[in-house]
Amino acid sequence: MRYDILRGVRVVELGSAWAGPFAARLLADLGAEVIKVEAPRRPDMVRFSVYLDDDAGEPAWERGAHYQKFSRNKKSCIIDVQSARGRELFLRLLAKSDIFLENNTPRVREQLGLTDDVLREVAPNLVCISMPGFGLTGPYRDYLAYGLTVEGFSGLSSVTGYGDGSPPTRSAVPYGDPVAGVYGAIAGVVALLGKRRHGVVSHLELSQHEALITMLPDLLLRAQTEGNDPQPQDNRDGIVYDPQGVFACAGEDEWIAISVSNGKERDALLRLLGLSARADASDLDLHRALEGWARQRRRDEAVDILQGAGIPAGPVLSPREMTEHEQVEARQVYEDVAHPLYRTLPYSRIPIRISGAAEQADSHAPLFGEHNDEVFSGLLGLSHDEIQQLYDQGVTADAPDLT
Amino acid sequence: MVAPLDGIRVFETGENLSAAFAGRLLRGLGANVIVSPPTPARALHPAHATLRDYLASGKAVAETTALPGDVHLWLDGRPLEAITETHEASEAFQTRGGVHVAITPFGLDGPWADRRATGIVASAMGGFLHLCGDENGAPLKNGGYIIEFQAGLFAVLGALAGLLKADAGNGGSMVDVSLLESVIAFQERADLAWTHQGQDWRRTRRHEVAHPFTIFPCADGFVSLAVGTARHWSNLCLLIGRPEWGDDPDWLLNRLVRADQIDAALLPWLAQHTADEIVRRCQEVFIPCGPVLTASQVLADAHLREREFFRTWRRPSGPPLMVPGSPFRSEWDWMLEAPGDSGVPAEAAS
Repeated sequence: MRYDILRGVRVVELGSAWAGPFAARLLADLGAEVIKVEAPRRPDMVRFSVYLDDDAGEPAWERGAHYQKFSRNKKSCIIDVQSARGRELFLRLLAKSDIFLENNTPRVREQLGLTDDVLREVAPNLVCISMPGFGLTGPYRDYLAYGLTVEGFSGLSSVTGYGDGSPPTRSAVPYGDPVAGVYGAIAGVVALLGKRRHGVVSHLELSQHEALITMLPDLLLRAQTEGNDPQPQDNRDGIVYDPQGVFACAGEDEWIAISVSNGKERDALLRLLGLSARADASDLDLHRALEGWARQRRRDEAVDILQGAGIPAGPVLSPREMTEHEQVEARQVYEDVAHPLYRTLPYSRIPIRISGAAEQADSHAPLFGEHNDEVFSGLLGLSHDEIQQLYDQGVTADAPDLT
Repeated sequence: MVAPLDGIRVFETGENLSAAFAGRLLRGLGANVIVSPPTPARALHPAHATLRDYLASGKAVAETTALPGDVHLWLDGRPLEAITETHEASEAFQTRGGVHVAITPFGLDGPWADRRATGIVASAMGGFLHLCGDENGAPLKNGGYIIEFQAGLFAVLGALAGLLKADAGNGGSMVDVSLLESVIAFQERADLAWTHQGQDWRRTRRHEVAHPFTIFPCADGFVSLAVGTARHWSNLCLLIGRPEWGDDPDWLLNRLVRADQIDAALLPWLAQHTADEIVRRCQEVFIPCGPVLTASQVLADAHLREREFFRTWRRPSGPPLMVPGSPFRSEWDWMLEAPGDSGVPAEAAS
């Protein structure tokens, strides 16, 4: 399901991997027409990641689930922007678009000649959103930014771990990317509002590194007020939530998360554990009592008892269990999307439900160059022969050149 | 200079961190944010109180808990039962074209709607804890309150989409954002591994498909290495003195199987060098690599200092503190700071 709130808004994405494509996909989910531009010789690498049925098959570039998930609802146009003809066509496409969104390093952006000055001249009404890993300036600007390394630069890794002296742990996902992705989509919508309300055409820079740091204000504040750096401390919190932890249950590899956010919940927990008065329980006692309590119960039973007493608690679910959870199923978080080359498969929806907004069906992530004709002929007015020339000269393609 | 959300008025209710974070982001983009008067103060941990003050900076406090008549957005972080109680006020607000954004643990409907969750619970159920930590260790959460704040990001995106819908003459809305679904939306490959490959991933310290692609000890701390491509791999092999591995496709494609052998060469090399040296030498040859910085190292980071990222926050009591600046930069179009709270580059103020 996609909305049509951004119907009529054309977005050109020159993105790769996760952050840029995720930002553009969120805009596509809201109804924007997103044209993902790839080069014949440089297809987005995530096309070759998490192959359907673990089989690269034919054609491999259409079987990568990562690409399918993060490019749904987009169109695909293949242009070699580094060629003179390709550049000319690309700039003409930008001039007919509302938003240009890219997540390349500044070096690549300059090599492509897509600097602010150029863009202002060819497309004065175009909103531009740049999402380089470390920003457009500063000593790290050309550093390669993978989500995992950005986590370390941001401070997140320094507080994620067991707190027993073992090395910090990488997160479940490389957090720098999705955070920047949502911020990128916000930038797009904010820029549209700013343009409509105030007539300002925005050129925005969004550093993935800085975006992730905005999610960690508590760490920076504590380092300054407490005089030393926050350390990894397992699943405990002790500041906003106390007690908090993950506890093993009776079943094989069954765990629950418990988190108490106020005095009322804490009192309910004490009653449940048979610890009568608040003063009776030191934090250590409480933690030990919870460990013993959880070990005697199966996971789902323990969660039901805790939730029944008004205490925030939930099962630790594997990805499979998550997709099959009753709340996830009831809310239809995963929705089937049909694909012309293989079976219908489920993908998670945009986690925003807007009442009264018109909806339309999802479309599959586009085949490589699926919308070449639509863009070259429909938007840019090229003739059949001119389009054929683009193929002949390698300016466009309908299959990546992997030689 | 004009801020993009100048003229937008927001009413913020409830005590969850998601709404407070969303309100602060909207404030930074120029919206006027009015907060419902807080319920009688409870004793907060000092770090919690400071975080609350930071999230409240630049916002005004309303005189009553009633929804003001002139707001465009209602940012609602109250529990579901409170949202249900004010159902009529919400309907009337939406009829006037207002956008009511509710941020709840599990969403406004479904069998779990009236259950409770905080960030760690949503993270557990969204599959994140299962995927973080050691093979033989307990499931692990990230430090900080990133789960709560990411729901705040989606709340802002939903709020702005609702405003665009109203601007287009399509009426007000209820925007339903849940902590759990905000976690699920951040799944990258692990849910696909199940739906597309029938594999149910579990936490491993090493990466699921590549190696070395995790955090390692070095001479003075830790570094992360994200060795994905053939070029990353061959360049790393040169650095650690195993050039023959770099040219061999068998090594390139079987790095997970040979992870122990690789580590036997990699770990001693890392142990001989500081994080600064390793990051510089790797990045020089285009290997994604980073240090594991502590919070105070982030505050002192040369790159962030040169970019004047940090702002000075003059808090209600106590000396000023450095806080993150706006994630968005725009050289000449927009004012992107909440005036009066944190508009001064930290360097200039210190």
